[in-house]
Amino acid sequence: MQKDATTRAALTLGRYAEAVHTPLSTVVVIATYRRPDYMEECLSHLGRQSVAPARIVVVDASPDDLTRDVVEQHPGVEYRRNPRGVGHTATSRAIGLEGAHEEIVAFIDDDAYAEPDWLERLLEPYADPNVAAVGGRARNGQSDEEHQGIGEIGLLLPDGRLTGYFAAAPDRVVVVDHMLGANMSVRSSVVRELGGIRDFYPGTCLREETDIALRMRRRGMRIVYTPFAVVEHVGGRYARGRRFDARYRYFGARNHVVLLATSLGWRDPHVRIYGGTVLRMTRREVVAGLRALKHRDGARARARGLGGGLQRAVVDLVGASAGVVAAVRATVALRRRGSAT
Amino acid sequence: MRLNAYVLAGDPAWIPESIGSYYGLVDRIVVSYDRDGRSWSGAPLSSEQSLARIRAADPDGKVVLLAGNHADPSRFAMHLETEQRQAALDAASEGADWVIQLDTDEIVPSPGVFTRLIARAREHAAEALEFPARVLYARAPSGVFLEQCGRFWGWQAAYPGPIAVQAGTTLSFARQSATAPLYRVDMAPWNTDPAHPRWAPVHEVVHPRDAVLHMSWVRTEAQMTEKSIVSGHAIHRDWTRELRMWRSRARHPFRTAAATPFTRDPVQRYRMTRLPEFADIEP
Repeated sequence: MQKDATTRAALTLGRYAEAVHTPLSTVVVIATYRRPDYMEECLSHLGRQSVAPARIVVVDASPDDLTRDVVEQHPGVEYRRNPRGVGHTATSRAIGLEGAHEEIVAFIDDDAYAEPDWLERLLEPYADPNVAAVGGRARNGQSDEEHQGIGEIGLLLPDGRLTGYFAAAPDRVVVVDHMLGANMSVRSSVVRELGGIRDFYPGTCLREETDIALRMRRRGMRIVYTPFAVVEHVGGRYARGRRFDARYRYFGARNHVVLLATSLGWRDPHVRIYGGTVLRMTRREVVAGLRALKHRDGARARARGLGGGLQRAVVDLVGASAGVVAAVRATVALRRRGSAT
Repeated sequence: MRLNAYVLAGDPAWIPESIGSYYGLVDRIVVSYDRDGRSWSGAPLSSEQSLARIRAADPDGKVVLLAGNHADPSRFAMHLETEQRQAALDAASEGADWVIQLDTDEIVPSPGVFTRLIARAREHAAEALEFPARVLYARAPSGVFLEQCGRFWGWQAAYPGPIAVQAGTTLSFARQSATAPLYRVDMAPWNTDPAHPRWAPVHEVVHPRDAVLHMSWVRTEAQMTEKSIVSGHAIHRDWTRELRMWRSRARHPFRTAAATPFTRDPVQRYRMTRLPEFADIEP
């Protein structure tokens, strides 16, 4: 595990550059909540890396000791507690970073199983000193996912929305605006320069991983996506609720407004334009609900279609409104701390 | 980044302005034309006049002529067009990273913005760039242009297909490629083209002044008459009516623009636009 911690790791840079010796040392941080089985598998995969990290830190927000028991079975892996519990993934990331002296911080989810050359490939783009952060690919097991979204991976669109497509496999490293929290890394110096990781993203924690990326973007830093650093993202069970339920949608809308306003600043055009996007999305959902009255068969199906459309519209609007309030509070808190973003 | 271009010769209108607008960006321009001077449907075409204009617009000898047999009245014109474009694109791909595929009545007003966005598309691993075009319909005697627009005279983009593609791309229909990942630019954060789905993604926004100018029907009476015969879409239109409307609208631009909010067809809505640099040019 520690074999390359203090020595230079020889990395082969494929077709993109000549082979170089890089002094990069890495700490891998894993934020977790009540997923001991997934954690065991995740750590097993990290133990088989072609380039080993200097340290692995597990930050556990669980109310029990099951994850601690798993971590103790892996000598050398550091165990830390997040006393704030569920809904504070960003805080877990920050706790994992405390005291880090390594040059690179890599984040991987507890339900993401790294390929043996994951870390080696993730570090390759750092050969370019202008690269501030590198995101990797997460296979989700869906058909044709490697081709979906090539050309628009990890973008902040002009209308304020984000694209994902972090399962896409283009034939080269590409420039992106943000990364997937399940498989991303950043230079420690950049995290320090930006004032650390912030936690304005409660509930489902959606967008928490995007915060630091957009702050980098605002400062003109370069973020890239490498399709060659691969994890298998198996999608563990949610701490509360289900993926894509109303709660998920609410926090998605809320946290997105907070993300744009606090990481880009209120004066950034994306913030204003996203307001218009929310109204358009609301209208789309209402229209979809009304169309269900015309196109669906049976009173029950019509009622469900209409109800679903209206519910989504209301959740989007309420979530975005709550986001504005939360963003104002976050901005005030940041100003008191002396950092605008 | 090495850029080449290809054009199809056959439509002489606006050739010097079109080729001249991106001439400095490219190393080579492949000019594809029918050996017998026929359109896809077999009608006589002004190929010689087009070739003469292209030669006149080529001071540095970048043009490479590519003759072929592209007329076949028994086949669907758009399929013939696709084959002709593919042959030209394959020839233009040699020694290039990307290939510009503009028609000879399409003008790039801001070459710097255009190349920056090709580079951006490439940076994101896209293989084709959809860039907005402003469709100019007619020019009034006063020099004012009628331009396609939204219901309340807002900007409206049109996309004939990607106007720049990675070298070696396979075309599926005219300029379009079914397999090349797209990078799509518009004139607003939300899609402005009524032919695209309302939620079509917009990856980047350019100012309308940087959009391609498509001098669609900004032509002389004689050129319009020829277009009504040789156009790939000729058989789908009632050209007698279309030409009558075109003359009437060009004569009465204010009335045409005033009717826009009440016009149902989104490609029949017009605004008045001033483009002083093209107001007096003979197409």
